[in-house]
Amino acid sequence: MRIKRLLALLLVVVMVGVVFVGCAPKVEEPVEKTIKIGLVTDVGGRGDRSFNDSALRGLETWAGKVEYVKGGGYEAITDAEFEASIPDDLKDRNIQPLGISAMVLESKDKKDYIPNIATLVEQEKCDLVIGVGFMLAGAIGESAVKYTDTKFMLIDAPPVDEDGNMIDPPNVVGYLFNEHECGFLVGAIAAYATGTGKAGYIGGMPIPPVLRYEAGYLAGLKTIDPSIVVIGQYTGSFTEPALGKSAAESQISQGCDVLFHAAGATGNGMFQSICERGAPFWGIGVDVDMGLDPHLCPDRTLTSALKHVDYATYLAIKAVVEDTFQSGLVTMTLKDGGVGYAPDHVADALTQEQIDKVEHLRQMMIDGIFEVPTDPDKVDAWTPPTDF
Amino acid sequence: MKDVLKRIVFGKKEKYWWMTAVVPLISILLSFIVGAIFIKITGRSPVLAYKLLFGASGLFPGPYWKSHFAEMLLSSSMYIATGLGFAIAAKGGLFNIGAEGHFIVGGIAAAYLGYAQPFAGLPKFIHLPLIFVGVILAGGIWGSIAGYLKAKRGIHEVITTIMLNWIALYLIEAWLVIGPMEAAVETGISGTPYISVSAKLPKIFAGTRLNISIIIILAVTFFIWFLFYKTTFGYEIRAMGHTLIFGMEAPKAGGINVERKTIQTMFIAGAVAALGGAFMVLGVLFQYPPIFEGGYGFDGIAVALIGQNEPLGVILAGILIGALRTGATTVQLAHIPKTFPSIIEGFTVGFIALQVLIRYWIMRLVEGRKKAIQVDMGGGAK
Repeated sequence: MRIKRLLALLLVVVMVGVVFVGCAPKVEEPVEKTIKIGLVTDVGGRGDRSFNDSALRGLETWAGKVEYVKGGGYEAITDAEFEASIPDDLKDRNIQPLGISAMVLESKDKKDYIPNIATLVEQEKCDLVIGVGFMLAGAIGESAVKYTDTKFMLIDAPPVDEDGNMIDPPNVVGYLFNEHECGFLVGAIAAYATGTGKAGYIGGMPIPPVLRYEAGYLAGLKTIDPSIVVIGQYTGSFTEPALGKSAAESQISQGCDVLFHAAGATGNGMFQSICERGAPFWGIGVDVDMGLDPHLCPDRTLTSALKHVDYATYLAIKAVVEDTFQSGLVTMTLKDGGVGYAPDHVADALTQEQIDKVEHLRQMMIDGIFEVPTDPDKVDAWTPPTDF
Repeated sequence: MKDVLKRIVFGKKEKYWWMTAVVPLISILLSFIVGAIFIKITGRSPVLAYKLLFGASGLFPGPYWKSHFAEMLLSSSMYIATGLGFAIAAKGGLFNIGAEGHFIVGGIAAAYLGYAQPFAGLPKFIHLPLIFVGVILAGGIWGSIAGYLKAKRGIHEVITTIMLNWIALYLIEAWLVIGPMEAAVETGISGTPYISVSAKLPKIFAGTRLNISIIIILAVTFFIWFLFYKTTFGYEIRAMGHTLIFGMEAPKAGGINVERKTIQTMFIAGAVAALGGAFMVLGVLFQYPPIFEGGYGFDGIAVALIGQNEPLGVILAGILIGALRTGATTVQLAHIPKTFPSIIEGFTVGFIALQVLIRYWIMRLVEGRKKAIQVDMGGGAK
């Protein structure tokens, strides 16, 4: 009896359902013209004040002309805000909004990269999926092979397959940076700024980009004054400010008064140490203009070695929008605005003559008059330029 | 039927045996309600949030269900491993917070045995079991250090397991992966080298990343259940667990070598949690990366608590947490932070901690108000 009643009820439900389905308006979804760009952050995520935030600026602020509202969602920004977001050294690069819509997925751990990319490709139907950082090399590589119709961009590394071998699928563009060039410039600035003749260097982990920073920094110091002593160390971590602080303390106690770090969040400890001591110590930031960051040490940030992840991201999106996408590896150099240094307090610490010399070195590098070594071990054997 | 179920599932002869299942369910339900209130407060739609969360969790069929389902089981196998690590120790009366350490020790052992030369050339059916033996030994020994210190020196296991977590972390991340086990610079790989093909867990679901880890962990869970409920060994550990917390001497007087059992319990707990790390390295990452953002060990505590430290409960809780975790990043499509599912997990554990209260409520419902109060008063008076 009961079963019969249940069956009857079920039938009614199904029939009513069928009626509704039949009535469903069969309107074709309007063909969306907006290009959709997906981005997967590494575990650092939004708000790391460095790498991920830089890529997000390229995507959201520049290409999308929107601002992320804390807690979720986007708000359009005004023209003035848009202008203000573009750093001085990129003002002449013609950065214009591209009218794309952005979809960002953060990752909780390394396991999330591939599912996040899959969500962006399958559910969101993104035209371009951006992976931020070398940690996504494998995830982007594997996904690119799987989703051949979607374009991918990878920052800071070439894509690799499941076994860690480099691959070159026709739908992936990898962006690398000449960190040694901007490292060289901040090294030259540090050499002029030091009063003790000793400069410090704090590295996160000896991975290729960080090694390039180190090589450039050492070369820059050597070019200005070969007698400068460099005290460098690797903390083994990109995420531990405490380690950065203890490294900075130890270098300062050995006489360093200008410190440069390429250590991600570990370097925040270095700035903390410098902020506590104040003048005459200077800190040099990395990747983004850390002198603009009120949470670090804006008053004692001499300069920052800039790596324009934001600009690279913007360029990749632009290529997709204008349908000029090309796969392969792109190296962003000083010449095309991919790297540079931030003005911060350079004018306070250096004389105009010294600044002109740094600018001259910069021009010489752009003109290809000399090359900076990419391996710290090769700096000793390298002959620095003399006539600048 | 009831009796059989009761014996299989719980192996207990309580009057309200079903309480063990109902209390976690109610806790989960309550946490979802509280979670919805939270989303509502921040001005977003709870319906949409849950739709996205469960849509991508792999629990319910839908579009893209296949890959979500695979991802869910992949996560679940790791949560079940660390959850069991906690539950096993809890059965022996030990509060094991060391699953995080066991997890990474298992991971690094798997990575080493996966790429190191004498092993890397072996055929898969020899190589994989060999790796698992190594992982079990590594995790087990790491776990039994805490057991030894507890048994022989009387140092509380909460302290030692927490400290051993940090020791493991820094041994691995500040030494091994950037020192002796680092991949050669010219390969451009950071972290350890990639494991050989013969060390990768076979995939069982075409087109997804799902591998045999879930089968292994289900077998291990069955083995643990058998060990605890069908052998003298397990009985002795449980006897110890029932009394150890109160410092009672009954098991000792009954002829159980408590010291040895403590070390053995921690060995098993460490070995099982280490399997989770091996699943991660052999099935997902294929190397030990320079920075390992874990958390599986600590989430394992939540899994065990939700699962009431019972093997079957741990499996179900592991699947639940695995599903929440799989759907976690998708809620960002509704502009909800990815941490939202962690809030639900936290609330569930919180409500589990209130289980005495929840039990009391249910009791009142079942037995009528007066009687329940009498029972409660009676218990309190003794």
